[in-house]
Amino acid sequence: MTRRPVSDEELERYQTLRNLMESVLESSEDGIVLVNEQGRIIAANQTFRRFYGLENRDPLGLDLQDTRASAQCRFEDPAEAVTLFTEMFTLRDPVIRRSLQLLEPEPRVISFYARPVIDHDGRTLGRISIHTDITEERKLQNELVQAEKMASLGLLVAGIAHEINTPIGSINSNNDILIRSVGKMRDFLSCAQCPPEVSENPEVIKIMKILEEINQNNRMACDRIINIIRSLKNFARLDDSEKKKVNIHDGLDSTLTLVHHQLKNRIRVVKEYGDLPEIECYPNQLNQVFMNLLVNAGQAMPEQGTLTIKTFRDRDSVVVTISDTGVGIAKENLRRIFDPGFTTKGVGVGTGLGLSICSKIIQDHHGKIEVESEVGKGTTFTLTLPLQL
Amino acid sequence: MSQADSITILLVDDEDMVLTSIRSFLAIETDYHVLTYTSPRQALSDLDHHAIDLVISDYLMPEMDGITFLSKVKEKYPQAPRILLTGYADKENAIKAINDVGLYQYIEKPWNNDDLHLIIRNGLEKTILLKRLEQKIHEVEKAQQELGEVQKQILRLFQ
Repeated sequence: MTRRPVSDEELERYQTLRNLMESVLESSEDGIVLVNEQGRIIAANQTFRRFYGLENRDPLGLDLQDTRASAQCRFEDPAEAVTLFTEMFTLRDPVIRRSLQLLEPEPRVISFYARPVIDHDGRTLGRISIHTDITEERKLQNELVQAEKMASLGLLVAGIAHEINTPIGSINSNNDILIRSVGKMRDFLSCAQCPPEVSENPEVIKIMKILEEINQNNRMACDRIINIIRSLKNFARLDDSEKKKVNIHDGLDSTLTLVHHQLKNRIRVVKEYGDLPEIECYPNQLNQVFMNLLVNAGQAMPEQGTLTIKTFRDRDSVVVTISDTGVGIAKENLRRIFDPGFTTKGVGVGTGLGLSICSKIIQDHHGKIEVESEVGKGTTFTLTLPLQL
Repeated sequence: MSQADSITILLVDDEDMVLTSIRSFLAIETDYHVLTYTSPRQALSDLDHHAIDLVISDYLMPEMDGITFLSKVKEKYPQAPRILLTGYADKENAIKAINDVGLYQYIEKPWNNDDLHLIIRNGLEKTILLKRLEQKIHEVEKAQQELGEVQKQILRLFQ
């Protein structure tokens, strides 16, 4: 390539382009940093500087060492920081998306990736890395997980409270009977007909005293257990809202809004709502089912896909189908997907309780939940709910 | 005493321990005759052999629920007060049943023996009063009949 004089016009065009590129970089909500082959920063937008506390320093020209020294930030896991900066500056290979927890200057969860920058001739010019603030997203995700955990805990607690109730009721009553019986015995011992050999016998006096003491003790113990069960019942009822007549389209729509961030732009949502009457149900619980199925559908489509929600009336029931065009469920797993604890999502993603809770809730509504799936094609869940509960 | 002697209570719960507890309590505090069943079906088929004055039933039982059971008892003994013993989370059903089967009261588990006693006593009061009334009517009828006989005899004497 030979150098030739640059005309004013070209210079102006170059300036305009430069300004444009700069504006694009600066207005991005993602942190963007470019590092050259020598491992020095050649561009860093303000978002990047903000994330890592580099606002007071011009980052241009900084290398790995300088950046680590001047960045006013603190990571939850300091080893992560080393990895992050090393990968940004030195590695040749692309870095797939991963997330980090920042504590300072602001507590943030950052998701970043890095790739080589290659010019038209295939030469590596350096590296670009993009840093996205996923704090809100992560928070919502955690809330969802938490909601799922609370729901399953609620079921567990309700089950335990229910199971303990009858035996403790019996023990409590029996203890009351013992107290009454011992009281009657005491009356008998102190009445005139009772022979003094009995009423004044030291062994009898001792046994009566022990009986009365342990009965009182048992009464306190029972009261405590009954109180604990009462609080457990209250806990389990927390999310158990009132039975109401509602149009389930409202529930579907509000749940869609909640899971929107998980579907983002990659998944097309198609709503084929029929004309539905209001149904008698526990709306909060049904929304929990919708939430589970919609999130599952989103997770089944890691790339692009279509999520179809169809509703219609079938005699005395309403039917909701939720279909995805995702990875599908293997035949051998299909049978077990409603079992508590069964998951194929791997540790940390699913608890394996979501669908078992769904199935429980639908059962409680005297409805049906069915699944059809083909590997590679997608999955359809069908909910059938009676109009009257 | 003589009143209570004639009182029969039917108690049904699929849990034997509940039956034992309530039966023992009533044995120590009252003179009621208590029939206990773990099977509502058996209890119904035995209804022909005993007259009952009050019935207490658990709600959740495998054979049939307490409300169905109580409504069947009602067919045979409409005057016997019906008490539903409910476990956790059955309260709503119990309240429904108050109207459906004309429930006298419901008691939540774990129950309090004093409350149980009071509810049974109040429930029985109505039955006892009705019984007494029947008895009095019967006595009056009998007295009237006797009086009629005497009257006839007197009339015969004068003839």
